[in-house]
Amino acid sequence: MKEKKGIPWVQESLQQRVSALDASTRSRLNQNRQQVLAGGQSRKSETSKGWLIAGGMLAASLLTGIIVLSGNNLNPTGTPTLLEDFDLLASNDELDLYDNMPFYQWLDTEYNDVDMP
Amino acid sequence: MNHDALNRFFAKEEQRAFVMARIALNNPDEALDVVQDSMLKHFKHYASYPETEWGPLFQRVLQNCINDRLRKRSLTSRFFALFHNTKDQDDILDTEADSFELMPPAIYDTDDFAERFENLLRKLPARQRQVFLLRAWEGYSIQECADIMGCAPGSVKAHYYRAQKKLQELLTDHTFELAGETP
Repeated sequence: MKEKKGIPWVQESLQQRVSALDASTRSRLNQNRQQVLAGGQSRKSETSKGWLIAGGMLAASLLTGIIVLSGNNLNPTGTPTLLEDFDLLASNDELDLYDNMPFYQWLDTEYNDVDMP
Repeated sequence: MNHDALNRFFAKEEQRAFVMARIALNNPDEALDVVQDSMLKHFKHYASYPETEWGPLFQRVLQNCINDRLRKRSLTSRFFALFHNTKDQDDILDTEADSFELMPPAIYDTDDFAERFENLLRKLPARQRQVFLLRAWEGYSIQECADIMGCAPGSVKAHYYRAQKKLQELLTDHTFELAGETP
């Protein structure tokens, strides 16, 4: 229940602003109301969803591009990249081979040295 | 759900809601969007509530939609608003908040004054403006304002007090002659 009815001169003044609304604004308010009552989404909301989907797809494309580029070119530290990890997991080699890679590299070097004339 | 009743309710509220949103956002197109969003949310969530409860519920939705717009516009203002809402400040002002009465200008029933007054209201901080419009224009009680805004009654009193003080200063600064004041 309202304990106070506002300030009359403020109400009068702001009511004048309501009365001064132009026909175009009143018409748009009326159209928007009918759209809402028809149970439809607002046109603006649909547009926003469209932009959201398009933005999401663009972001996904950019992310994929960055991953591919970083896999091919951007690895100055020599640490394994994401694509290299996929190669490892997809290959049929024993994982033990990768665990002892320094040993096998050393063995390979030694073997080649011995065979050389 | 009674579509006719809802249509009548929205038709009665939409123009005032538009002016309120336009004052807050200072952008007629955004104000139209906010009013439509508010009607849509009210339609979806509160249409089945008793008609007698629609007024405050619609105001709550409207104020939330306005606040969302303002937040999106400026994260900085949101940051500073946190400091304005401290409980200590509100409590200090609780005791004097009821005693202040905004003096009316000598002439306020002209279109020119109404337009200037709308611009003055934009100079208030968002929460003060919100409380002032709900209380002074819509005539909601302190408790109803608190329910609509989702804050404590003490905060409403404090914001309303500050809003009136600030408006009084602005009205004086803008050379509006105040009724009852001796020259």
